[in-house]
Amino acid sequence: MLVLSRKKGESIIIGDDIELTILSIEGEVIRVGVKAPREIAVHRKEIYEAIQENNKQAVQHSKKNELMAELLHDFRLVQNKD
Amino acid sequence: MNQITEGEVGAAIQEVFFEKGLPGFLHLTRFIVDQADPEAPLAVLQSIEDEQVWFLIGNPLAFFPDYEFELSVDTKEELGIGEDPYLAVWGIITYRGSINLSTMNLQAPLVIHMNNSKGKQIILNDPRYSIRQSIMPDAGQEVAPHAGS
Repeated sequence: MLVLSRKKGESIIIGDDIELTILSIEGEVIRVGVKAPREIAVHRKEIYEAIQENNKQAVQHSKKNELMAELLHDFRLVQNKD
Repeated sequence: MNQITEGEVGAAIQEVFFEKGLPGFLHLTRFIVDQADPEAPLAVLQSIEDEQVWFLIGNPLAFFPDYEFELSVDTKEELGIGEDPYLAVWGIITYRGSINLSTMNLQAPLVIHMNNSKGKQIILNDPRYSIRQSIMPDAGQEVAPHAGS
């Protein structure tokens, strides 16, 4: 990992098109501004990782037809209750 | 690429292309959406490249009628969305043995542009929606704490 020290107002450029700017430092909270091309998605790491994790957990391992039948059965039960 | 064909017993099968893959599965771009029962808002998302990878997905609006979000400019560009698009939205379901225990990811829905079969999993960053939203009608609560906002 490349480690750089920055003060408030200073920036880091990544490649030709991505710029991070330290906007403010208040106690433990640092506000970082990100300029990047539109096609590059920018996310808080913990959110991205949580979605990655949820996707991995959601992968099914049962037999598709059986699982689908079970889910449809449950769903119709719930529907009929209303 | 834009094919919807009739499968067994009136099932609709559509091939979709996720150019950027899915978080956790960035290398998988080609999927099939297989909706076994066209009357039920449930389907299977099956990877074409890795048959071991498949998900249960549901139409979020059928379970959460107030669900709403906007598409960012870059998402619209990536999916080739212009005026009046025909879009399908799906939430990945984590099925835990029964519908009572199952949850849907409302924080990161799958958006498919039906006109060109391009899809993307978008991250909403909306504090109203959880990654693990219980799909039972009465349970408005999330099942597990979601990642920080």
